[in-house]
Amino acid sequence: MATNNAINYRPISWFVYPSIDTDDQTGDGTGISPFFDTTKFLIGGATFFGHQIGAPVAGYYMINAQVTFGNVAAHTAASINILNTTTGEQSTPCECNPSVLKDSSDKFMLSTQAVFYLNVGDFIGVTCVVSGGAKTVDLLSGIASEPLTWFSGAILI
Amino acid sequence: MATNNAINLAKPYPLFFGYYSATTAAITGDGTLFPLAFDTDKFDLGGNLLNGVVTIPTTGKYYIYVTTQLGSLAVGHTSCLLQVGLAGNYLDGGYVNIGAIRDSADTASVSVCGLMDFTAADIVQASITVTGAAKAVTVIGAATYSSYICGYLINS
Repeated sequence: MATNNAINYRPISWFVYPSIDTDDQTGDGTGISPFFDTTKFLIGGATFFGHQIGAPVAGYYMINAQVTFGNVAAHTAASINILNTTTGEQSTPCECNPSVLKDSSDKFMLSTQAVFYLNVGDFIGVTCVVSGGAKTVDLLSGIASEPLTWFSGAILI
Repeated sequence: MATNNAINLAKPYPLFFGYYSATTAAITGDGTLFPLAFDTDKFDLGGNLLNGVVTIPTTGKYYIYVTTQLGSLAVGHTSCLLQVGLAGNYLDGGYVNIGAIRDSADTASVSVCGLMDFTAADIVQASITVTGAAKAVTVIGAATYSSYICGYLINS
């Protein structure tokens, strides 16, 4: 910190999302790592590899993710978590029973957030799974102005 | 921001938290979209929050979090949408069967959070829509922050 109470700050942040729905991704326990093919913004040197983001500098990052599933039936378990694929560190999974949570259109959302310490070059992504039924659960993208599934984050310090 | 990419922490920068201090009347349940007018500010550095409406002071990336505790839910309230942003730039959350997950007091909470890209002078507000039964659903307010919006500028 400088003597004038200023923090030298690198504006690293990202928001990525899938542009199209993908059908029959999970439901039978198949774990998936959503493919985020589109960036809303990606600044400060963060690198984008579709399924994950690479950290350009070491630091504490606030990270959040949301996944929206469709075509949910009597599936009994679902979870989402954030995973540092370089170190294996992951957030505590957010878990639920989707057959109870699903709305009248057979959709439901799961979201999670956490603060991670990332080293230079660490890769961070999202994993999720639905189980207890057939592999008929879709991953919904939404539209560009209202994404339903996304992965966003920013460096804190 | 200074030319050396420094943020001077002595200056107020956009940081806000507004909440409902009391429970609303019945505002949704039948598909009515209700703009959330959080009536009390816990803090508002920069003076950008008024009745739940944020006037964006500086173009940049903002962290936004909204949570609502809903009351008077019934089994017939089968869909929910919690939205924040402005036309053409929303985050959607709360896609659940809100009636099915209500507790024994007929309440349940939904939330949405993420980073958003705003332009100076954007008018940002959250809204809640519950569908499937009577217009009986309330937004629960309390001094303990049952329903609120908060956010801050991440970088410009």
